[in-house]
Amino acid sequence: MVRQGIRDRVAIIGAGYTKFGELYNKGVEDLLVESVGDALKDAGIQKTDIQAGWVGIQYWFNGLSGGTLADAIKLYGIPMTHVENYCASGMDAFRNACYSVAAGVNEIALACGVEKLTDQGSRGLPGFTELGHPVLPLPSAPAMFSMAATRCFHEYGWTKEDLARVAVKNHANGAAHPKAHFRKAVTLDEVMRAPMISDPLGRYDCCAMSDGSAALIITTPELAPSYVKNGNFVVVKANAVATYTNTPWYTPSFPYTNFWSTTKAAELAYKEAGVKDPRKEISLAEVHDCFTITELVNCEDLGFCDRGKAPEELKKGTFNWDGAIPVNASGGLKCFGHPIGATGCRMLVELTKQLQGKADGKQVKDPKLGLAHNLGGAFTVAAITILGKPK
Amino acid sequence: MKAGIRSYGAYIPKYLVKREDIAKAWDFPSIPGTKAVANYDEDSLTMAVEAGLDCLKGVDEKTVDGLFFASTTSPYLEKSSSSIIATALDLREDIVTMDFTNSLKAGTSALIAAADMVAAGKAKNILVIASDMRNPEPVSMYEYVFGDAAAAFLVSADDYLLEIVDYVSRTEDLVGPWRRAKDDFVRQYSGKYDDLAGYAYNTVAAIKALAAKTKIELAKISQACIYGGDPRAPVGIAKQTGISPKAVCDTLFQTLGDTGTAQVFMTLIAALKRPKGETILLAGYGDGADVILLKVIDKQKIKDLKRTRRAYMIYSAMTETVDVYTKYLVFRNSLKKEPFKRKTTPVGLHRDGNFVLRMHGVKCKKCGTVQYPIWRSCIEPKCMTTGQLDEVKLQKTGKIFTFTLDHLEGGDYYETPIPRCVIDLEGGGRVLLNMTDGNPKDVVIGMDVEMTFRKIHEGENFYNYYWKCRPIRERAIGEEDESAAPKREEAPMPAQEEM
Repeated sequence: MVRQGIRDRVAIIGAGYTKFGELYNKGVEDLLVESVGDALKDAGIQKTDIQAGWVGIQYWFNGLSGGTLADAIKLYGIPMTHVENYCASGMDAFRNACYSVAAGVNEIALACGVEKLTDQGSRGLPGFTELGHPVLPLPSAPAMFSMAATRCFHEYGWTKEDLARVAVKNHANGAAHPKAHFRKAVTLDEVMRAPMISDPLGRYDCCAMSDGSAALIITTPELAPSYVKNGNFVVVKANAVATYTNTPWYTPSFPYTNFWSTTKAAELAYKEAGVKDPRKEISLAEVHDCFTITELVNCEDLGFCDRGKAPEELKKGTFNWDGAIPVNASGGLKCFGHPIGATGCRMLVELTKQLQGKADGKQVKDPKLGLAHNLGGAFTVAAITILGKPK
Repeated sequence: MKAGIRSYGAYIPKYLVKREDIAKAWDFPSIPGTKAVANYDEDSLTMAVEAGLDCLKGVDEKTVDGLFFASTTSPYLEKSSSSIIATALDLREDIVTMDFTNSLKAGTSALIAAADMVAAGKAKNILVIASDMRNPEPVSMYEYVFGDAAAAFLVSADDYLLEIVDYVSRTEDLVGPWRRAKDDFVRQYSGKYDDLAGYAYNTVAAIKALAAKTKIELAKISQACIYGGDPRAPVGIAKQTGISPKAVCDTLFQTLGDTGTAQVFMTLIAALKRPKGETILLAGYGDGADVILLKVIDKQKIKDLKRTRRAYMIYSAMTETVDVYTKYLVFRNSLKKEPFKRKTTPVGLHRDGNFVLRMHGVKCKKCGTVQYPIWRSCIEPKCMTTGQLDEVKLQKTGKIFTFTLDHLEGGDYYETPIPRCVIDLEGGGRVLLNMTDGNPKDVVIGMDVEMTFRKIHEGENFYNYYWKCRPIRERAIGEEDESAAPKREEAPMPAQEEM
């Protein structure tokens, strides 16, 4: 079906990001200027070298259409496109940019993402009274994912403590990352005792409402060496997106112990990248951990361990930053928060730096292949990007 | 008359407020008992749907030719409630719907109208529902008195338990209890004057007129269901008309309070628990009076019916949660909380009526999956077939597949945490419904739940209704539960002078 995949046809030559956090004194313009500026500097090019741009933004109050990006960085006269696809918005912006380069239309393209959530109060993601059907229930994000937790507890006997270990691991990693929102380790006890948000998910089971932006400059692998010293650039091995229903609670066969979109996107991505055994071949992964339960189920959907065994592997240290498959060595969404449109790009910046051996936080030892994954909506859309070294 | 009551149903909200709690809050003398109060997401309309569902158990709803709704507290001043209720009950569209409002006797008036229409051969079955949720001013006598409930009768041309033999109606202008459109609370000028010149005068006159018209001997009335604003009033009426005080039926004031237009309906339904004799009298009061004579036709059917009716909750009501008075003040918005609103559109809701109000879903002809709401293509990824879905009615009971207890429910913080439940319905279909009237601590996977019709929010300043779920409310079924029924004491209201 796939005529020609994306594998080894796109290279990242610039990666940049802002600090993530409660950036009350910075707007969308400030954040984009910073992240894109950081990426341009990394690539050693001028903004006028960019031939097309894609920006991932989820919320209408953050900006409308491509003009948001053009106006922010003051780069006019080229195609600028706004991508909105739930929590995968940023990674989908990247996918679109990759396709333009792989198609031979553009030599240098920009993919970025931004979100200013702190302008909207702090009681969870905004919009749940403005979106969706007028009376059919629309659960908040924590409510959706806690329904998965309830079901996993029932099916596998997982406990709240199993969830808490995800937070403890990711906070320990994030403490070392200068760009993270939260740079503080937490104890199992602290996580367990935190106030309840949506039972069984407590405050530390949920990622924060943070602001941030991240940006990537891409070109072809042929042109990349002229921008990056010593050939230390990374290439795209796979882009995959899989979409299912916005309302899984109406699908009688939906199990809640498995996110179909992640499973499907993983199948597509591994095929494109030629990955046969992810447990052996993936050196590190940025896995969507909007909630602790999300990381556990996703790790199984990504094939990092057997069904029902994620808590056991986590406890054994398999997913630690120095474990067999480091998951969220950066600290993940748990520590960076989740400025929706920015998150996917932020993960790709992290992987790029890890693969280049210049991670800002915990550096995973000698990584070959990195996987970034987003899960958005009501388990609706999953996006996966696999990055690696040039051929 | 060739018309009678074929079925009945009732609804009592979960919460009962103790009158002593009201007294304690304001340091006032108390009167004994409790009163039923609707939850924050209920109103007269939603309670009417509940009573209607109860009444239509075992009845094909497509055979109903009319729906009459009676209430002094219809949620709308302009817009029919009966049409919303008829839709939520999944009745046909080619039926007559009417709202009987503004008077306390609206319930009996609706019953009379239905009986005449059926007797005239204009309709075979008319569902009459009386429901009230009157708002008393905080710190007033009415606050001890007003209770919330709904009751329904199916008036039919045949197959009835009770024949509607005849009736008398009279009208008289008198400023008794009143509430203008711009008033929040029911007002009263002189309770005593209204009791004498309004209530007693009109009720007695109408009962005597009915006796004269039908040639019945009032002393032989076996059960008298007489409206009373206080629990002793009906006996006073009996004494003035020659009805035996022993025939006077309990108005349920002690447990439920004065349930307004629903009161005489509730009284009759409670009386049917132990039917005695052949003749029943039903007297409604409000700006005049309606008095209806009923004849018992089928005692066995009365006995059979009560086993299946939620109406018998009346007897177990005392065992339900008794909640605190402050919560009730919040329910009635006496503490002035900002109303919860969501973005909404009456246009879209009208288009979606079949799955929003009627709770219909679809069944896939290809893979057989029953699903909600009404899709154009099958939702199951293994099928996804377009254009092969038949609209079906979904059942209103099911089991919880998974759930969460949401402490952050958007905007609507009356009762957190709110259980949000994914439910596999009996007979197929999976839905997501918020739970109301339940204890979050009791929610588990596999729990049996049932649907209940509720007010969801007031976006665009209209009432947006939809379904929620709740734990199945146990019926106090049949005879075996009778011993568990609480003993009802004579309610010692402040003594009324004999009239």
